[in-house]
Parts: sequence; structure tokens; C-alpha cells
Amino acid sequence: MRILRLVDKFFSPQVVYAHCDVPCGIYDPHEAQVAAHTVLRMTNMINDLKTSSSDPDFEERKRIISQISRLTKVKEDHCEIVKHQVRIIWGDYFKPDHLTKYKNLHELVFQVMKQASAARQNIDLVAAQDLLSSVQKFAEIFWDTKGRETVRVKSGYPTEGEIVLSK
Amino acid sequence: MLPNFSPGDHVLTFNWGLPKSGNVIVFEVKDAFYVKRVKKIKDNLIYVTGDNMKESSKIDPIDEGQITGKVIWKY
Repeated sequence: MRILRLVDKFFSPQVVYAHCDVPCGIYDPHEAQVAAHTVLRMTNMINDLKTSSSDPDFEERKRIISQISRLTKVKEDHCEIVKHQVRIIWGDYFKPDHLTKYKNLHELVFQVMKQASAARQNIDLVAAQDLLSSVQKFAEIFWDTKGRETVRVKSGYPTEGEIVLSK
Repeated sequence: MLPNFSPGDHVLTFNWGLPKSGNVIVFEVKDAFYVKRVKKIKDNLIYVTGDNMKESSKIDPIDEGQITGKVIWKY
């Protein structure tokens, strides 16, 4: 063995990994929930934008367009964050054994993807609310697989919605 | 791959013949090399898994062309 190690000092061996991503085993649906709340908040803020008249002047139009652009960008970015975070947990954490207990898991993830796309493409309050609801259910399933009880608490965010936490 | 392989272990591979179920192999996916155990071989696809089932992440099946070799020695 020492001889082989000595040989390796002169001819460095190729590095091999036992895991596909680092750090393995660290998963949390919290970020997906925060992103879903952000999508809902951005949708509400876009819907709440008002002009002073039916024919606003150029400066006001510029201001409104700028606000809508910024809010839309954040909304779309966070729809993608929801999809990314849920996909990572679904693809890397969940194992086939989980599906025997949570038979609707694939359907729920499919709904998240579709609702996130709808909330991203449109100013759709219902889609944003449904997205948050689905992500909360996803979080509850995730924590249940770890044998952790969950509780829904007031998020304290301007959306006034809830967030799922593990006890 | 704990407890059979630990970070810092060196492995020697041998690339003659196809691996069998239970063999530990080194293979390449997207320019990175991985070490996993062969779970089964079906329809020319090689299904691999880690020994540490608690933390091992799922990986898509690989084909023969991706295999670098079978692990024959750990040192």
C-alpha cells in the first residue's frame, strides 16, 4: 500500500467523488416557501399599482412602467427559485420508498411547476395563491418524511400568509 | 460510500470486462468521476447506488462507455 501511495505522489491519481452534489443530505423547503410568498407579494403589488388619472402624463407613465418592470422581474425570478428548490428536493432527496406513503407527491410537484409557470407568465393572483398552498403541502410532506411534526405559523410577511415550520 | 470508502481513500481500477452487481466501479459523468456500487444491469444500462443509503443521492443509470474501471484495490 505504501508503494502505491508513493507512486501516487509522482503520478497524481484522478479525483473521484462518491456524491453528485455537495453538501449531500442538506435539504430544506424553507427557501421555496419564501420564494412563493415573494411571488404572491409581487403579484399583489402589481395589482395595487394605480395611476392618478386615465391619461397620466409622461413622467407618471415612466414611473409606473419602471415599477411594473422591477416587480415583474422579481416575480419571475422567484417563480424560478420555487421550481428550482422543489425540483432539487424532489429529484435528489425523495426516494422511491417515499412514494408508497405519499402517493400524490409526483402530482403535487407537477402542480407546483405548472402553478409557478402560470404565476410567472401572468399577473395571476389565484395562481400565486395556489402556488404558495402547494409549496406548503410539499414542505409538510418533506418534514413528515423526517419524522418531524410541522406547524403553520403567521409568516409576518406583507402577504399575511402562513409558513410551514418543523417543530 | 461510507463505511466501505472514506474521503481520502485511493482506489485502483481494472477495466477488463463488464462489472457485475455488487462491484464497485469508477465512472465518468459530465467530466467528473464518481465511485458507486453496481446495483443491477438491465437493458445495457448500469444502475448504480451508494453504500451510505442515508445520504447517497440518486444518479441516473450509466452505460458501459462511461465506466473507467472496476475497483480492485483500496489503499
